[in-house]
Amino acid sequence: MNRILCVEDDPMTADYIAKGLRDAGFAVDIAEDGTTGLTRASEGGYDAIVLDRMLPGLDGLSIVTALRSSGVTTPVLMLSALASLDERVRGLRAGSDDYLTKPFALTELLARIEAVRRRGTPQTEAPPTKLSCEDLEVDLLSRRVTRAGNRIELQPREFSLLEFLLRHQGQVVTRTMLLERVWDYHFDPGTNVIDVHVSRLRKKLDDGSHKSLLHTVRGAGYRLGAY
Amino acid sequence: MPRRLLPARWRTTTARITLIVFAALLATSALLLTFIGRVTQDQLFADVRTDIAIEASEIVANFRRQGATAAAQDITAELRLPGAMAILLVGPDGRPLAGNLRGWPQGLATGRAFANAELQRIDHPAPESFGVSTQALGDGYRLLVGRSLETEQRLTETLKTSLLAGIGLALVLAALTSLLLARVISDRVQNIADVAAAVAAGDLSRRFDEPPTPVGGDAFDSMARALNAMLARIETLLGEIRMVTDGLAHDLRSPLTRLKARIDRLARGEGDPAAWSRGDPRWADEITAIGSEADALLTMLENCLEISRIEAGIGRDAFVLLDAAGLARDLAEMYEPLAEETGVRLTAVAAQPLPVLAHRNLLSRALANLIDNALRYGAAGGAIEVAASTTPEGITLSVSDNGPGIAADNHGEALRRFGRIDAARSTGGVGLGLSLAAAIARLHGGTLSLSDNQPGLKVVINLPLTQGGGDSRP
Repeated sequence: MNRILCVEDDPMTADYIAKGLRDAGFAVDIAEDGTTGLTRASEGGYDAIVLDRMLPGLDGLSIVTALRSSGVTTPVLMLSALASLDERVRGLRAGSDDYLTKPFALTELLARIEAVRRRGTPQTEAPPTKLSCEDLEVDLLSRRVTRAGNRIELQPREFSLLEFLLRHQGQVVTRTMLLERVWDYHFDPGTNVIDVHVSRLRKKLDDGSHKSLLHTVRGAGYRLGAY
Repeated sequence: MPRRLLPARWRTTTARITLIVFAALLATSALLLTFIGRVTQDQLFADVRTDIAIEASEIVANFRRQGATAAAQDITAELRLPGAMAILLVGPDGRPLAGNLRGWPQGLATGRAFANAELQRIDHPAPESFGVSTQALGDGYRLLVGRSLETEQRLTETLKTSLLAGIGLALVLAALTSLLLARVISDRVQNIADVAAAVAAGDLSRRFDEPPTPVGGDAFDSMARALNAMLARIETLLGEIRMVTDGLAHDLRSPLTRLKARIDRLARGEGDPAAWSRGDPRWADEITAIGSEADALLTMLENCLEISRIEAGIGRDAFVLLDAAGLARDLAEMYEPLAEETGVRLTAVAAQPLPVLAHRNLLSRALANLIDNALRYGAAGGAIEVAASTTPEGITLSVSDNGPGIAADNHGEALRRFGRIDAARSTGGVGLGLSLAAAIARLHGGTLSLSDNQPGLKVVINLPLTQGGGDSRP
């Protein structure tokens, strides 16, 4: 059973998050203030922590700093109403794994929790030089992409996009995540800029194949996988 | 300092000013008048002494030359005429030899150069005040010469009276002057207090009394000018805030109304023939549409906050040296697939590297807004060009389209926050795009300008090479 600690002082937001996470199959504990949150988080046993930035008692930044300095490596997803890039950088520097600004969609939160949760599992072996999904194979060193043995030519950005999707295969990846991680932009470019990039990549990947690997998850984002 | 402007407080100040000015004026006039009195009196008494000295020296000379009897005769002759003098010559036995006194006054020593004494002359009904000189003439003879001080005393009295009158007049004048001065000062202060109170009560159009000339005047005038400049600035800023909030309220109203209509439609009871059942495929679409409306509202709010943050100068500490040409190419590349799908040829003209100190995310965002706008409103032209180049002053980033453009008259309006050219430009909550880009340009010490691309719109961001101290205010 995957356990998530949610440190959030606003009962409505906490309920919203808890319900969403429980629906997605997680067991959720809620801490309503910073001190309780830090105590629970230090006890361990959680797969990820959803941490509000501004809390009564002890604020989110201090909690992350305290956790990291005491050696707790549980992935932390920080929630904040402070939207600016500088605030985000502060949050990440303090030791959180991701930073999500309020208001957020539940799908965005779930996708990001999934991402930080997997990142949290320690990687013992050397980082892979090859990624694959079904009959799609990507060589990260030679930047060669093949589908069922057939070479696919990708633009550099398309390659980065595919690499990110492959590293998160099976997970839902949101547009904002792609924008932040593939393009390194922290603003909404408007309209469906990302969608067009994804559909272009999908067209290239699915060319000559009867099975689509890159799926659109309605109202959430995309998922790369067999189904 | 409202505390200072409290009536009771400044009334005390007025009283203090009145009192100080009054005291100063009074002290000055009293000193001056006393001085005049003293000098006049000194001069009068000096004259008396001279008279006595001359008379005495004549008698002494006569006594020395011709002896006591001759001197006595001389004195008697002298005193035959009425005058102001009192003379007495006494012999060694102490008896008067000549003169108009009955005897040597009691207690008056011999050898006094000048003294005051009350003497009663023969033929005079009452003792009078005299200035007196006494001396020993040798062989026991003694001489007293005096001169009546009556005239001098009268003069002194007159002088004293007029001086007192002068002091009285000075007192009145000092009181009037100080009251007038305090009145002038308190009137100016009262004006300031009144205007400040009116402004505090919400009337921002009120201004302090100020001379028509732009320079000169007293300290009150320069204070009034400085305060008026401050009020004008506050009024402008508040006006801008009001415009923003009005614009925001206006722009929020239509999407919120649509949102409410959609929710109402879903919330209608099952019995309502117009109601959509949960199974209706339109139900899910409607929920998605509601989500999009809410997202658009959030984007609008976020953009509005972002503009305020940028205009407050936040973000300058995150400036890094970056290649503006590369930044332009990256954005063109990002929008290129979307442009192609829209049927627009999006090209980047940015060959050589253009190093510039800038906020990567914000500058990207500004350019993204411009490209997004061009795609939205200029797509009909079929081509959009994103260009980065150098100028002698710095670097230039531009986005040009061949669409309908914006009439030159409307360029200013288009850059205003919530400025709207037409209904089409303000739909979807992107009306803030241009003003956000302009705010970002200002954060970098640069400018954003619109020009006619013949046909179409060309938006140009000019960034100076040397940055810092750029004005981020609107």
